[in-house]
Amino acid sequence: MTRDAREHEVCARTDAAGAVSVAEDPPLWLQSLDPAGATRIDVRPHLAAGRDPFDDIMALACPLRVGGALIIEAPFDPVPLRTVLAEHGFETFAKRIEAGHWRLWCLRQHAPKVTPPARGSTAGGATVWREDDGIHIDVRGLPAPAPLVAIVRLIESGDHAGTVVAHLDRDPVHLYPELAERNWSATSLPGDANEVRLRLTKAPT
Amino acid sequence: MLSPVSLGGAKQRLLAERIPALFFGTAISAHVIAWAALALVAAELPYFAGGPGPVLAVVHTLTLGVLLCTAFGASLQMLPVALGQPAPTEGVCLVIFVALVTGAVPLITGFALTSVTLMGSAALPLVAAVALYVREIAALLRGGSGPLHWFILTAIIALSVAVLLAAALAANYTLGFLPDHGRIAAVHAVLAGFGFMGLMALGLSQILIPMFAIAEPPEEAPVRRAYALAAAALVLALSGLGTGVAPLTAAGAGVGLLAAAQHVQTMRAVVAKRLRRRMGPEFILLGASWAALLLALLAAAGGALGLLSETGGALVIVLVLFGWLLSILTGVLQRILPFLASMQAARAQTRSLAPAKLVEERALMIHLYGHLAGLGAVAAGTAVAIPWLIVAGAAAGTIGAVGFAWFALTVLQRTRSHLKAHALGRLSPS
Repeated sequence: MTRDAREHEVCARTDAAGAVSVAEDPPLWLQSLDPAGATRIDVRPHLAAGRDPFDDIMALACPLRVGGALIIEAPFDPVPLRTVLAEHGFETFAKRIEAGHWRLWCLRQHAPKVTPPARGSTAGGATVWREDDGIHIDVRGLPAPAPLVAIVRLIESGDHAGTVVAHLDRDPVHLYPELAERNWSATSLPGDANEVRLRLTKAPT
Repeated sequence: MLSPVSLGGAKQRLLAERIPALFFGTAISAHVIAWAALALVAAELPYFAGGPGPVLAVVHTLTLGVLLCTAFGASLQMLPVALGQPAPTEGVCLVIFVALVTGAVPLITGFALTSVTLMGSAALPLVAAVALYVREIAALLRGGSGPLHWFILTAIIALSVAVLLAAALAANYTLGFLPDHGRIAAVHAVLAGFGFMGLMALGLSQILIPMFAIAEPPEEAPVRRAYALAAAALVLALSGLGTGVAPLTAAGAGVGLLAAAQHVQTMRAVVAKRLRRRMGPEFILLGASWAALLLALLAAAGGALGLLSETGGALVIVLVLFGWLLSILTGVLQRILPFLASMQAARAQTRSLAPAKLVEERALMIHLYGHLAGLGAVAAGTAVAIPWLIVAGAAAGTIGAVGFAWFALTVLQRTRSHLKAHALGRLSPS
C-alpha cells in the first residue's frame, strides 16, 4: 500500500453539507482549535459495554455554541454520526490514532439547521411542529414521565430558537425543576379545553 | 428570571408542604436512631431469630420509622403526580401520620422493654393508619390499569394482610391463640418486606428512575415479566413459610432472584439511555440496593435449604432492610426532597429554584460513604458474628445518617430563604 493510500485510509472529514470524504490534510480550523477548551468524550467504553453512546454525544454536542469544539474518541470512524453532527452545524475531521482508536474533531461552524418539522412528526411519542411563535410539542396522552423526557429532549436538542410551546394534558410538576436546572422558565398560555399550554423560554445568558 | 407558572391542577396533585415534611422528617430522624441503636444490639444481632427484645425494636425503628414513613410519604405525593389524580386531602394525610406514629412509638418501646401492654396498645392505631392509607391509594388506582397499578395494588394488599397478622401476633402474646407464632411472624415479615416495600419499590421505580435519569420509561413487556415473577415468588415464599415446606420457600427466593434480575436489567437499560449527563450519588445507592437485593435473595434461598450458618437469618434481614430497602429509599429521598422543594417554590409563584442549588453535596458524600461502609461492616459483622465490627458499622452508618439529616435540613433552610427573599422582594418598593 502506498503512503497516499494509507493516508486516505486513516483520515476523513465532513463538510458543512454533511458529505463525508477522505482528506489528506487536516482542515485549517483544526490547526487553530484549542484541545484544552474542547469538550471531550471517549465512547469506546460505552461501545465495549454494548451501550449506544449517541445520546451522550448529542447531549454534549447540542449545547455547544458556534466555535465550540467536541473531541470524540471512538474505536472506528463514526460516519453516520458525522452526518448527524453536520446537520447540527458541525464540521468534523476524523483520524485513526492507532488500531481500534479513532479521534473525531468536531467544530460547530453554525447554528443547527432548523428544518421545520412537518406537523405530525413524532419524537418519543410526542408530536413536534413549527409555527410562527416557535417549535410546538404536543405530549398529551403520554404516560408519566414520557412528557417530561420528550420536552427535555427537545430543549436539549438545540433545535429551537429559545422558545418552545408545550401542549400538555396536565400541569407538568416534574418539569419545572428540570426547567430551572437548565435556566428555562415557563409561562401559562391560553389553551384548548382540558389542555395546559405553556410557553417555555430560555433565559438569556 | 421570573417564572410565572400557573400550577392550577398541579396544586391539587401536590400535598401541602408540611405533609411530606412530617413523613420524611420522621423518617430522617428515625434513620439516625436506627443506625445508632444497631451498636446497642451488636452482640445479639447475628443470632436474632425473632421474638420481642431490643433487636426487634431496632428492626421496627427501621421498618416503621424509616421505611414505612418514607413509603407512605413518597407514594401519597408521587402517585397523584404520576397518575394525574388529585392528592389525598391534608386532613387524611395528617390522620395517617398521627396514627402511624401513635402506633409505632409504643410498639418499638414495647419490643425494647418486652411489654405486652405497650405492644397491644400499638395495634389499633397501626391498623387504622394502614387502613386509611390503603383506602387512599386504592382510590388513586381506581379505573387505571397497567403494570404500575398491579405492583401498587399487590403491595397494598400485602400491607393490609401484614398489618392484620401483626395485630394478631400482638394479641397472641396475651391470648395465645396462634398455632405457630414464629411461622406467622415470618409470613408477616415477608409480606411487609417483600410484599409491600419490595413491590412498592419495584412499581415506583418504573416512574421515578426514568424521571431521575430523564429517560424513556421502560417497555411494558419486561415490566410485566418482573411483576409476574415477583408475584409468583411472593406466593411461593409465603406458601413455603406458611406450611413449613422449606423447598417452597427456597423456590420463592429463587424466582424472586429472577424477578430482581429482570427488574435490574430493565432499569439499567432505562438508565443507559438517559439524557441526564451527571449521575448523582443516588445512582450509586441505587446500584448498591440492587446488589443487596440479589445477595439477600441468594442468602434467603441458601438459608431455606439449610446451607447457611445460624447467622444466616440475621444476615438476610440486614441485607434486605439496611442494604436493599434503605439504600433505595435514601437514594430516592435525596432526589425528591430538592425536587419537591423546587415544585413548592413554583407553587408559591416565586423565581424558579433549581434543585441543584438546594443540595449540599458534602452532606450527600458523607451519607454515601457512611452508608456503604456501615452496610458492609454490619453485614460482615453479622455474617461472621463479630460484635465490634457491627459496632463500627453502626458508627459509620450513624455518621452517614447524620450527613443525610444535614442534607435534608439544608434543603429546608435554603428553600425557606428563597421563599423569604421572594416575599421581601414583593414588599420592597420597585
